[in-house]
Amino acid sequence: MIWIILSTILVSAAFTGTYFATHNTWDATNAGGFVALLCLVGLLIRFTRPPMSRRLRLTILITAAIAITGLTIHWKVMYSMTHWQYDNIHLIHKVMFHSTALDRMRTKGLKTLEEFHTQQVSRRLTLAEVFRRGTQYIDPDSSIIEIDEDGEVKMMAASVTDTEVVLIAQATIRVDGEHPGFRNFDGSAGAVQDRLRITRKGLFYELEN
Amino acid sequence: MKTDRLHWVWMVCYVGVALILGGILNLALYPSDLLGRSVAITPFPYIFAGGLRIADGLDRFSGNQIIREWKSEHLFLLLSILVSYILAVPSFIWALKERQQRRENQPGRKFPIRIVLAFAIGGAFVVPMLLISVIGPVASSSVRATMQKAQTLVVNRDAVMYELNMMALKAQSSYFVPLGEGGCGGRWMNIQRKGAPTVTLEELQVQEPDLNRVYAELFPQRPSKFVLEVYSEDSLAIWGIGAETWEGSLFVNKDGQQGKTQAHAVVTPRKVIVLWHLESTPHGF
Repeated sequence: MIWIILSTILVSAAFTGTYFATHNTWDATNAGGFVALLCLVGLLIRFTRPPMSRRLRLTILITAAIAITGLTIHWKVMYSMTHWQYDNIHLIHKVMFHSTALDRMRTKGLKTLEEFHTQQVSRRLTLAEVFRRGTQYIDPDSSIIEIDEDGEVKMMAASVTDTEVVLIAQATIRVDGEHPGFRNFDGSAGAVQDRLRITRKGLFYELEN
Repeated sequence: MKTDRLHWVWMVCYVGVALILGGILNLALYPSDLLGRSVAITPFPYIFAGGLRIADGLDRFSGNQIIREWKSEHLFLLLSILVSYILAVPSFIWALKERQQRRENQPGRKFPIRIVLAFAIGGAFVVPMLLISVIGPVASSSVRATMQKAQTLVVNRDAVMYELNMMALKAQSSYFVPLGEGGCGGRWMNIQRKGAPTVTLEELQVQEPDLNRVYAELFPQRPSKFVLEVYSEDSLAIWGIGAETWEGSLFVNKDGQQGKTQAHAVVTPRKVIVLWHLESTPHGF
């Protein structure tokens, strides 16, 4: 009984202490599991002392060794698999954003480029004028010119000059990019962002983060 | 066997009853949906922890901020470790020891309620643990390998399709830019020069596709191969052949290889359709 009480205290301390130190559920589970394993091995050795028969003792210890080995391997596989799935879910989200952003900005960019190069020579407008003529800002006080139908990607005009128009695409919800320190156009940091430059020589697309 | 309540047949029955009652109790008192954040006491706390990790991933996908604070799930997780490994297993082993001693020294007429309860409740945790310890490592490793292989193929396909979209963008952009400014001047094929293409694969290809940087950590991409066919002044097609192979596939790729992931883009000045040959999913018309 004392052994069980002591083990309970140790496992609880390891679990809660690790969680409040790291705020990571898996770290706490691993810590609690490791301490529980140590307590269990001690308990097994103690419980299987004589007068337990040698046959029963060996059966218990061999079965325990197989079970502990198997569960430890399974534990490790689950740990790596769930972390992989966690990262994979985020990867899918980033790719979805980049694909949608490319699609939206391509449409806008090509329309502007075509209008610019197919206009009459006698009434030639600048790139900025062509762009402004074909664009309506969603909010006059912001630079947002479009949000896709699903409401997940917003397109903004970062810079509009006679020689170059720069469009920026960002996610409307938080999607972390590769670089946590990247300064986003809207003032946030570390979020995904794509950029399209429209010049008279063509369109130039870049995944910034 | 009838009078010996500690006979092995009876012991198996006690564990069986405990397993059934335990299952009913869990279903009745606790919704056991791991991703629903309300769980029961489980002999596999690491599976529970894994479920919480995936639930966090889905929350993040939805744009929710993950708040790391102590919740009821953590209490259940701790209880699972304590009940399974500190209470159930020792109880089971104690019951085995007491059973042996009772049968050897003092069979008795009184029903051995303590031994039966300890064995049954302990066994309800120990038996699933023993089963999983044998089946679990093999099954989970196999599942992981299958998932990773499948996802590698899907990612390679997506990477090829994205590169095709980028190449299509360059072709479309070049179409509208006049010859004097380095573009194709409104035609991808020079009819006057016997149909000579005005755009080449070298001009369209990207040396280091940006999206490969996104994939780098989980699914590093090897270079894909491309084939360009210009049909007319305002239509062309680009085939992208990935580096990954679909096992058992007899499909012959555009460049003569076999079984590789392949997609192709049909491009006009204002539209592009990207198709994956095995699914033929139109994208972006």
